[in-house]
Amino acid sequence: MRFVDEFRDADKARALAVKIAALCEPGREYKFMEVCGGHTHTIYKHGIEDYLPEAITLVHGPGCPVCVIPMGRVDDAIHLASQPGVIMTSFGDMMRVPGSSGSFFDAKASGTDIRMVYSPLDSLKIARQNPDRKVVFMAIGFETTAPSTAMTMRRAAAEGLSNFSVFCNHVTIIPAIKAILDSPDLRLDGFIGPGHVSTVIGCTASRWSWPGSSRWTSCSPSTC
Amino acid sequence: MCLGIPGEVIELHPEQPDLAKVNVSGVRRLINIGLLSDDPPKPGEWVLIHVGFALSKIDEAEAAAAMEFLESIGQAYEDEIAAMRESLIE
Repeated sequence: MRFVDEFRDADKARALAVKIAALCEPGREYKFMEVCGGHTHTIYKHGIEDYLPEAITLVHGPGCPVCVIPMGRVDDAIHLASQPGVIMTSFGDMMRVPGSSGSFFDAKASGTDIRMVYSPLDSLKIARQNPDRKVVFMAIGFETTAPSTAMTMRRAAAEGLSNFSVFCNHVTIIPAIKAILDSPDLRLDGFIGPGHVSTVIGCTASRWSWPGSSRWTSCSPSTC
Repeated sequence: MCLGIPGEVIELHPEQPDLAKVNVSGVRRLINIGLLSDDPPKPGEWVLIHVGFALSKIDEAEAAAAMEFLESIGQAYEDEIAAMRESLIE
């Protein structure tokens, strides 16, 4: 986070709150969605929601890839993991996510070889150590995680590791935001974009307007 | 996996240029710096680490602010450090 002192300058924050209040048109309600769970934490920690005018509501968004994975993908992964000779590797965050017949933890308890890793690169070491097994990495995450999976695959290819593969469940955030805007039930006036995703895709990727709408998005310099 | 955590680069790997040893809250582990190959971090510089990869360089003040935030969220950060402690990158 750059400009930490500036963001925490109480005088500037008060002045900004006055400006925001002045921009609110009488009788109009505004809804903004923060995309990332890190934003949600910061908003609650600093009481930002209570500090904003009553006309402004903050809506919590879809910024957790583990939370938005379809149940069928968990089922597919457990099916893959239960094939003979397979070791499935996964981030710890995925282990409790329910599929239709249980989670990775449940499958592991039943004897399926699913191992937690910190990094996709950890899967490579497991693959090197188990040349007679097939190691499948459960790849999940937004733009922040996808480059790591890609780099891991390049490394595996460079080493000639033929027993390593990836079950790809990566998603990108912009289509998710556009899908939210398409929802007839949710009227939003703007987004607070994900900071770390923006370090990967840049701010311009978020600069687009929605047909027939004054809605907009922008990126945000936050810890997300 | 969701958290980007700051780490200080301790040393570059003598044989593998895409690896570096970093210090994260006292935990020293190897990470991959290949995504920053255009401008690789040097010992003493700080990087933002995501699942074992340096995602960007950050300055020390940014690192301190990010650490303050991460420590405030409690369990999720402790889980991330515990996972990193188990890391096998080589």
